[in-house]
Amino acid sequence: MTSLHNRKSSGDANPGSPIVGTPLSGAGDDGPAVISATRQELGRLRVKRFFLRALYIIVPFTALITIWYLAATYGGYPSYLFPPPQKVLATGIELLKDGTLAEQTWASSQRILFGSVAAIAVGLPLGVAMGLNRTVANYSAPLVTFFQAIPGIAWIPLAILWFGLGFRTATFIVFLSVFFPMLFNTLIGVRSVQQNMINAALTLGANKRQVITDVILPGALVNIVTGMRLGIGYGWRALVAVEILGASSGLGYMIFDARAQLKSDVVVLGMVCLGVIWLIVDSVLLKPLESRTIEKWGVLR
Amino acid sequence: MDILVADKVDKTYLDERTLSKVMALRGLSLSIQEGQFVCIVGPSGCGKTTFLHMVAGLSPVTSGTITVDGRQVRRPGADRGMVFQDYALFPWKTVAENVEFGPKVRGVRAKERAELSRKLLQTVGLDDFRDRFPKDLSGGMKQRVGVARALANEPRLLLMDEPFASVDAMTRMELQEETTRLWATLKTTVIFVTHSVEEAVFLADRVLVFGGRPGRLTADLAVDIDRPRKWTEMETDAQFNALRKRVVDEVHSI
Repeated sequence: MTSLHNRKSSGDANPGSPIVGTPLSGAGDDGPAVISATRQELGRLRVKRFFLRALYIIVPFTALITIWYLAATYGGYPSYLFPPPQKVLATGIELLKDGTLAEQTWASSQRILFGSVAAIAVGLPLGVAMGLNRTVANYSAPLVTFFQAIPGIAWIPLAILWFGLGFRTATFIVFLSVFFPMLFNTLIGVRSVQQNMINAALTLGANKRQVITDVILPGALVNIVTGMRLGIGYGWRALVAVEILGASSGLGYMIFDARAQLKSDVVVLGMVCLGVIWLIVDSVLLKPLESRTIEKWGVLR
Repeated sequence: MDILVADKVDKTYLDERTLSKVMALRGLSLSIQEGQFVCIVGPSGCGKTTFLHMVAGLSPVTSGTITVDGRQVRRPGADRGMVFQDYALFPWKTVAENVEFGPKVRGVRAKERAELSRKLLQTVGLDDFRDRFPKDLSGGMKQRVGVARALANEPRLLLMDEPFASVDAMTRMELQEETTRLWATLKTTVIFVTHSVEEAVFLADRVLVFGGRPGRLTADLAVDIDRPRKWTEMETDAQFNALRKRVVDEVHSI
């Protein structure tokens, strides 16, 4: 749980709160007296946090690359089987220059993007609709669970038969990999919205539509975002598999094709790219989305 | 004038766990005058919360009728505000947004809403917290927001479902005194459900004792202790203690 590490500082609040009328002295419940941190303190905290975050990334990767370097250099393996980091880096620069890397990355990105967006666009409203009606939810839950148990890659043979090799097959596999976790988690999220929260909205005069948009959707958002993050993670893995088996472009294809040519440096380069891209997508897009919803609201139901 | 009339109200529901039919209320008839502070007290399972939910329109009556302002209750409405035991604040909304929710769904403009929430939050002493989220608040503060949120619609009837049961004893006394002060200025009709006899006698103009299975009205007592009431005075107040004893006897005689 990221919330343990990224606690927001308390910000500024007025110390204590005036209670209407005469407060009983010493009545304990009025929350902790929050004293605002000075600007200096806040600044120091921010700098410290920035450096810490950078260290959390730099230290483990430096260690990994060092071990890799030592193993490749002194391990006695031929470098065409176990390329050292500097060779992979050189290959990376070379492929970056001739455009291969960009081309393959773009091919993969397109597939993950289209597949995920389509899966979310269909899975989210469908999950909400299914979650709203108990009968529909009861009848469809086993089906959703059933399909969620079938990994995206199990669909690859069928997809190749239907769509041939290439973009459509890859996107279809990504779609399926994202769709079911998305649907499942949205359904769970909608179902888990507290009845009292809905009752509160109703007694405040909300109509059905307002209950959905103002209570059920935000109430289910934590699960929805989790579904997205999980789903896109599954989709990313499935994409590599489908590019190995059912495509002639993309990072997965690049890795598999390089193996046939004994270019282990390209294989490793492809793997590094997969990891780096996922790290970026997760830390720039998915994690902030998740932590913002969870931390801000403190929604631990 | 009677603001609420319940006429021969029955409530039965099917308990899906035990697969048995439960009669929660039988033949409940009562009326409540406008401006009264009415407390309903009784042991758990006596149907007091069920009654409140039926008045709110959250749960249908099985037979009989409940009318508010002469209109039969069929569904929830902004004329009947409710305060919940577990606060039921929206965690994704700030304190101010919570308070403004009722006016917002009824189409009140943003500027008016902000003024309204400012005024109400000042009344409950929380305007400094208007941009905070509920998780930053203590239980007592949360319930103050809950009350302000319910009052934002200027309801005809304020329904309070064991609202102070989840806060500590000191805060509870504080909130009870605040509630009576607030009520003295607003004069909104309040139906307050509680299982605490002291709380009921302290707050109410009238205490209704519910009891038994199925639940029914077993006693209806007027409380004419002078207001404003303070806990420091109540402890030695003969009238308060006599009434408390009377209600305790009624609750135990069921």
